[in-house]
Amino acid sequence: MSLMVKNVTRRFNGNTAVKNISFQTYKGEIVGLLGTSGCGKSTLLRAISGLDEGYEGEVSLNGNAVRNVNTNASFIFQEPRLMPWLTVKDNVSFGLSEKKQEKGLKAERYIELVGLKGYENYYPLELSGGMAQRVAIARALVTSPELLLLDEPFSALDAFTKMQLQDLLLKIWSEYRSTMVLVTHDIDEALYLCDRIIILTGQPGVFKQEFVIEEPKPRRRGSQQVAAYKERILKCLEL
Amino acid sequence: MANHQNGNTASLPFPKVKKASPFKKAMFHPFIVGSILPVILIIVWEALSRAGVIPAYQLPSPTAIVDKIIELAEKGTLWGHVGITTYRIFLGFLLGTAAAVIIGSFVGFYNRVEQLLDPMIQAFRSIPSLAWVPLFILWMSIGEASKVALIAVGVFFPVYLNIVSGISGVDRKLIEVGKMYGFTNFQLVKRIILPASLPSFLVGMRSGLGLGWMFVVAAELMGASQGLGYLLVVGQNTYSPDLIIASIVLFAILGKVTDALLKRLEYKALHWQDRLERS
Ligand SMILES: Nc1ncnc2c1ncn2[C@@H]1O[C@H](COP(=O)(O)OP(=O)(O)O)[C@@H](O)[C@H]1O
Ligand SMILES: [Mg+2]
Repeated sequence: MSLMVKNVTRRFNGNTAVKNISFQTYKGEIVGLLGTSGCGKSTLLRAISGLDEGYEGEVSLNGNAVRNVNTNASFIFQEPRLMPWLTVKDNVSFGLSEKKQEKGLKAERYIELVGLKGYENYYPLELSGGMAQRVAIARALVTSPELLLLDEPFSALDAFTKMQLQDLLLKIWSEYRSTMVLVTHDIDEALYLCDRIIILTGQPGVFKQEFVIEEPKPRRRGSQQVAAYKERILKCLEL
Repeated sequence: MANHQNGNTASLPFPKVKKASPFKKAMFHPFIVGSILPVILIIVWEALSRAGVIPAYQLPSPTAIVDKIIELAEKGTLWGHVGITTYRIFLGFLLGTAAAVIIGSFVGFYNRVEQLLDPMIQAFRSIPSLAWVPLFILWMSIGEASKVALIAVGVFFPVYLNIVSGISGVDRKLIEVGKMYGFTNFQLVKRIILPASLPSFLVGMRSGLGLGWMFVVAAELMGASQGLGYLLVVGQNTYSPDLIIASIVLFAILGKVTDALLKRLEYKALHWQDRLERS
């Protein structure tokens, strides 16, 4: 799915959170929105998702302007946001409207994909943070979204779990080639996953610069080419 | 002792691993521990009664009270009294809970309805509910309706308050998950808001039931020809403390049983909450 964001501005009671952001993504591309905390990344992603409709400007999917939630898009939040009263399996199939058996089969397939086979009947309270986030990933994927929106999905996890889930995300991407918009404040994460990185800075957040990362994926963490990009991005962020 | 202190732990005899015997485990079961004091109290009470220290016309012995209950049961009147009291509680509880669910849901979901209704309901809440009794009797005479209405009023408030706070306390983040799936408002309510506020609804039901028992006593004291509360009045008028205490004991048993039923329901509905604790 191609996404186009045109002159999006979002004000909250007169305070501007993001100002005049425009960019587009092509089908199957992973685009990173990178910026310091508070520069409006989440605000922008919520506008794209349709969860927030109070923005100015235009968001189009496949060339059609949209304002409300589009069921071809899925959102992975920073927290897993699982329904605590449902098992892993029921959480994964939560948004499906098919018959029970079909839902179950689909859920099982995606539970296996995220490496949680055997945990179908666990409740969220019994899962570690990493496992819970895997469930959230399975739940987002089960509707076969063409656009995946991720808001710092791994930032609450420890370094090792984080790397595992980044690899999982790449595996999913190579299998399904869904378009992704990844909000992050982690430069290494952006450089590991994204085809293109859009830098936002300031308050209100404005577009600063765009980096096209031409390294083929999967990339080696901490390779020289990646380090060179990192230096340029740091310079751009004036850190 | 001395050669144990020089650090040569290998020479130490194996520490005797103490394994609790099944007998000991049973001894320290919470139920047993909790029963110790009541049992001692009852034995002391019985002994004092038999020794004549406590006069029977003020406080009859435990055995006399059990005898009284058995006597009532044999005469056949006990079931009528217990039955009618349970029936009143049941009906009042049902009506009070239903009203609280309906009104509480609207108040919880719609800000406008909350602004409209909540101040008034809060004002009514500050009226001690027993103050309604004369009015209810005036309106509905002394029959069943006024009693059930009084119980329903007592049950309503705790259930209502818990439902409203449960619904308004639902994590907005969970609701957004549903919104991302394009859920309608009805789906959001049914699949996220109601299940998420269930714990606090159940808390409300249990405290509502407790109040219901209080109000059934009040309602039956005010004028009834049957029921456990009526037995209290009879006991007072005929100077029979055994009858009064027998009714109190029956109230305690019924209250405990109904609460245990709700607790079971709560456990079944909320097992996801404390699976961790159990395992
Ligand atoms: N619902 C809201 N109401 C008022 N201000 C908000 C709201 N959401 C975000 N903001 C403000 O917008 C700015 C950007 O926030 P956010 O998008 O969360 O930043 P980021 O995700 O980049 O850390 C912040 O100053 C924040 O206070
Ligand atoms: Mg954010």
